[in-house]
Amino acid sequence: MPTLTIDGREITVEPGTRIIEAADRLGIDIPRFCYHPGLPVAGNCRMCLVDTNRSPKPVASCWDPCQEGHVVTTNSPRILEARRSVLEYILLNHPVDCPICDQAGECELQDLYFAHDHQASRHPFHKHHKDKARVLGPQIVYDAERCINCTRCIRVCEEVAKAPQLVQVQRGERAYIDVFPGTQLDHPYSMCTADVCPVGALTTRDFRFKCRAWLTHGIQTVCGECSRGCGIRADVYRNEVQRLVPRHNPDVNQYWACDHGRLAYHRFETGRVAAVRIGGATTDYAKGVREVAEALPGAALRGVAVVLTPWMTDEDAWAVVTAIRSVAPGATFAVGGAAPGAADEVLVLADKNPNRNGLARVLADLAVTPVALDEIVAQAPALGALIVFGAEHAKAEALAGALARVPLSIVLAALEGPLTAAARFVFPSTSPYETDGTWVNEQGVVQRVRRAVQPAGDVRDFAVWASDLADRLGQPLPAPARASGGNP
Amino acid sequence: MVKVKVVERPPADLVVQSWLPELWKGMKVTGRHFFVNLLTQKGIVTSQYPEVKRVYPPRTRGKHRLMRREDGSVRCVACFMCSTACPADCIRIVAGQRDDENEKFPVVFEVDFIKCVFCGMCEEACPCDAIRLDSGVHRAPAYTRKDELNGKEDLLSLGSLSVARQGGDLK
Amino acid sequence: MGDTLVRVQDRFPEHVIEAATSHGDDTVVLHRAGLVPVLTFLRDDLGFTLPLDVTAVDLIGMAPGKPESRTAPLHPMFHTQSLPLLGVVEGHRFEVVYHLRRMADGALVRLKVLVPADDCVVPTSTGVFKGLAWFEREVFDMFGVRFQGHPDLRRILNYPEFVGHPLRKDYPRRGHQPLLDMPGIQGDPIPAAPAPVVETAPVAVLPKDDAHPEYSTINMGPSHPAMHGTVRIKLKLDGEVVKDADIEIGFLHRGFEKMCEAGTWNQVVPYTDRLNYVSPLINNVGYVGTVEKLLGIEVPIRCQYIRVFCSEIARVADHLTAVGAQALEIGAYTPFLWAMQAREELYFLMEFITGARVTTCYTRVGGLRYDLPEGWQDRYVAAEKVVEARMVDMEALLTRNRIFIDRMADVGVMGPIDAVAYGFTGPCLRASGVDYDVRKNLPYLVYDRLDFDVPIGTKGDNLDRYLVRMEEIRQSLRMCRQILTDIPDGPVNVDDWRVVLPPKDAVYNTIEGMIAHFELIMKGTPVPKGDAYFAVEGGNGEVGFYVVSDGSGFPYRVHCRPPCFAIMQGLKDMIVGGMLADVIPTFDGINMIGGEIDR
Repeated sequence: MPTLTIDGREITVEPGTRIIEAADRLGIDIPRFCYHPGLPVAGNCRMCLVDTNRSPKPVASCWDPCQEGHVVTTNSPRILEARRSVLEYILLNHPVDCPICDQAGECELQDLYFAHDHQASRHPFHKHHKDKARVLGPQIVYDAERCINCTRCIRVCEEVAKAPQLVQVQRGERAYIDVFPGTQLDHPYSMCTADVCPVGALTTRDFRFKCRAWLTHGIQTVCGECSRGCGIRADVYRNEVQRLVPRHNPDVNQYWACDHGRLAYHRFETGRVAAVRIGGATTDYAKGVREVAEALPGAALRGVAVVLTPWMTDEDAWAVVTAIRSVAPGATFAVGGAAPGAADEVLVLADKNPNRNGLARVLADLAVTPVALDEIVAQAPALGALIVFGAEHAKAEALAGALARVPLSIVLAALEGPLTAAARFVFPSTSPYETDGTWVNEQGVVQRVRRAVQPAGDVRDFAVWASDLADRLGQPLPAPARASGGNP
Repeated sequence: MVKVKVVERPPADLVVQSWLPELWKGMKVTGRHFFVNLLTQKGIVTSQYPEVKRVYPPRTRGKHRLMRREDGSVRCVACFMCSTACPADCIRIVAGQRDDENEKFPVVFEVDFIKCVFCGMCEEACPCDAIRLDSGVHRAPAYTRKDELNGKEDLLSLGSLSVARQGGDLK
Repeated sequence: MGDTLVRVQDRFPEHVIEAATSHGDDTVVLHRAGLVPVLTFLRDDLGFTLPLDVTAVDLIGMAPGKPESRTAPLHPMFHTQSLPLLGVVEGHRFEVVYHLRRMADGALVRLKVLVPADDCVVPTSTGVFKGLAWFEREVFDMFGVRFQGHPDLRRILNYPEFVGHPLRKDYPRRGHQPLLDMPGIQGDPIPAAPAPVVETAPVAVLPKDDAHPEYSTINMGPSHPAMHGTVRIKLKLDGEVVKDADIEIGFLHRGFEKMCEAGTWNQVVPYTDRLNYVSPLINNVGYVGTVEKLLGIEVPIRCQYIRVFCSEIARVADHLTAVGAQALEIGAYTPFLWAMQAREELYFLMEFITGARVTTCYTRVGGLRYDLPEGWQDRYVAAEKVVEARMVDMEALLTRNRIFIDRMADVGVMGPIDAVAYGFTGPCLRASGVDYDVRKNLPYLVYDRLDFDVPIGTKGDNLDRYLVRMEEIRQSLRMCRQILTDIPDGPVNVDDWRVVLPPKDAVYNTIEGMIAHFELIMKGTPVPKGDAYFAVEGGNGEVGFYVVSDGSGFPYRVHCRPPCFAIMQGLKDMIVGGMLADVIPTFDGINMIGGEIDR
């Protein structure tokens, strides 16, 4: 366990730790381009140079492992000048693209130039021209002039996605990144290359020219497209999700997320349930809740069945079960959900619902034994009420048929579909980006889903609906079921 | 050199107290103004608008105008510097893609003149000489809020060719 | 460490938590129990007799939070909802900040009292300095900090039914107030009003006096042509004699200090135009001077001359308005129009230099928007000719006019000791005979290179205020004439692209210039963490700015110390006992500017 000193501060680390990692732990920021904590070391950018007592020349701190008695200086005049020079060198041929480059505002080249160089140009000559705006794949655009050849993108494809689709071609100032002839950059993690790209060389087509990065604010939340629950950040501007980017979570997804999950927000841009409906006619939320509350006790005499969705948060589940049971103690509950799909060896899991695990725990806690979905469909003609949460169910057609046969049929969903068409009562519910609560992923990690977008009109969380219903039924829930914890 | 000086209060002597001598002196001043204006109009500051309009100095900040390139296209590349710098958040831009080397252009460029305070920070922030406040046109009132939203066409109509050389290729 | 700090620490070792000099300002952090003794010691033993300011800072946004995994800056303008509360800093949430001035040498001392959120009470300082009464009311209004023992702890800038405390960091900029019931306008949810820690009995304003049924209480304003600003003076009258008064301000409160937290350091400059909007250039100069003090940079000498020139022509415009309005409202219409004619020349000069007559937005951190245009000297000379000619005419009609003298002399008297105790500065303080002028006692920019006189009065009445202002106009013109000949050539901005936007040809043609330009517009100039107070001599007195930085390019807190705020506290003493008709010239003599007093 070597102990070393960086800028006068001592730290003891595990053998094999690089100097830059030790500095990061101390809170000393050594600038870098090609180093990324989730990728193998390359050492080509030369920004992370530091002075040490073990070498007459500056060493690359991303590569050099910590040794016992190492004395490292990150801010000597020679190092400051080295950084400035590296930046000047990179900027020699860098195009004056900031106004049209999507990376502006989150560009490591911009930030490091401003912090470590901020001098005028000494370069009166022509800049070298290369290909710009080249589509490399369905999600990625490449601009060779902006590229600083750090090779992070190549390492992401090789090491994270296990699909070595990018290569560096040519040499020296002519070097650039490309795909093999006749192929595309199309593996399921292609957008991660744009995440790691420190400049605007690789950008996503989904976000291209959509919104400027500094206008958005990021909300730390969780992806719901499968039970992996990758940490994502929803970048929001004027109450709309502009893009989703992966968030660092060492326990779940490290620094990565799949393309499918990142594009999922588009699904909720159209086809939303806009307002409360009773028998096809639009009405207001208060009236809807009132009528359900009036009809439910009577329907409970015949039997109430509830189809829960493994998309709902733990708070939703608790509130719904408690509220329904207060008027229908014998209600039966089933768990629906999206059908399983393909998995891969990186992050994607077969269960396409985010909270099956959490839902199971809540039901166990409340001593609810869920029945099979088919049973509820079969029971349908005998039921007094059938309440379905969520629209994305594998057996949607069967459920729609069941809803049509039940006198009091209620669907709470975000998206229109066969279920909302079949039910008598339709309540608009929140999308995953409007929801706030707790999900537990397949590994058992408890995570917080945060509201990124304020829902419009009468859109409500399931928990809020359940709480309002319980109030109307005269059995208010003990305390508002609100999540209070946070994600790292 | 800074000195402290006590102000001199008017004396409470007979001249002041009897107010007639001061009244006479005052009337000489107003009388001078009166007769000069009556006979020569030299002291009249009222201008006969709109036949005679006030000349605005060259730096006066008036309505915005969007500038063009040599090929007539709008110079703006929708970089959002102006809308970020605007303290009133009155510029709305929606960017679109172009098929030439300029890559980006504003599909929508709208200035809300209800909110705009004509501070000129957008002009200062533009890295392309695309927006200027030097049209010399005074902001005109409108009857509806919608008319106060000036879009790309309105702003281009006041615009003209900008010859700011850009892009890093120095001759 | 300055002498002040040593003596305070020696005398009150049990109360002082920390004493240090920050950017030249002596700062003492105290336990609240020590506040009144230390204030008394500073006033009586160390000569800090002029109370400048009490304000507060909500430290909750300074608490460290976990950084995002990707650098995406958060420009505050587009995020109207409040920041999530990150945590409390070491047990205290608010910093209540006091500023005192020793006029003789211009020394400043800053006291800070740390207050926890669940116990935000501080003993009042009004027993030591009556001129801090309104400032404490403002801190109560904006932050919810209560001052124990304050004789009149009511809201001052917001209306009484306002819910919450808007300058707290968890209050959103577009917070929706319950009284706001307009269709289509829905603000953001506001946090629940905090429960009061200390119950204070509601203050009865101008209570009915059963012993004097003949007294009547009337409103003067806010809809009153002479109550410009706007202001409301509630008067208790015995016939025409004023028996008691209550001054109500806040009609022009627009949330300037909250809006300063919505952008970068330079994006505050257009807001400063709208403080004292009769002399906006002075506010521009004062604000950027404070940020430059915190940055530790000095602007080039030519820039300093230009800033002084602009301040002085703005001062002339301000005084012309004050004097003209004062004459107008006691019936002298003609001199008012001459003053306006003179002022018009100056507005044209300001438009010539800055591009706008009133909304000048001319200074930037580290320099100016642009240099003076060609031909400015001729333009000034032409303007000065008109101003001086109209000054002569105005004086001929007013200064020895019996009616004018009878209405102004011995009316609205404020003696020097009371004036200082109230925190008066500027022409009103100097009219009372105290020779304190920031340009003289604490010279900034190039005032130490110019020759000028500082006029003072003898009686502290309205006539003295008029005479002082008229003389100051002449002195300002004298300074401008010197600047015309003395101003050197040279650059106008500091040569550092981390502070000042690069020249346009560097932005258009080089990536370095483009990047610096982008970083400054997106994220602002990074200003080191800390705080600073800087004052300039405004038209009404000492205009102070207190800024707090969290290390980023976006201001954490900006506070303006308005000179007429302190002066208006004294208005009550000046009108009580006088006649109703005297209220008007007295109020005009103070030259309250709504934008400055209410922010």
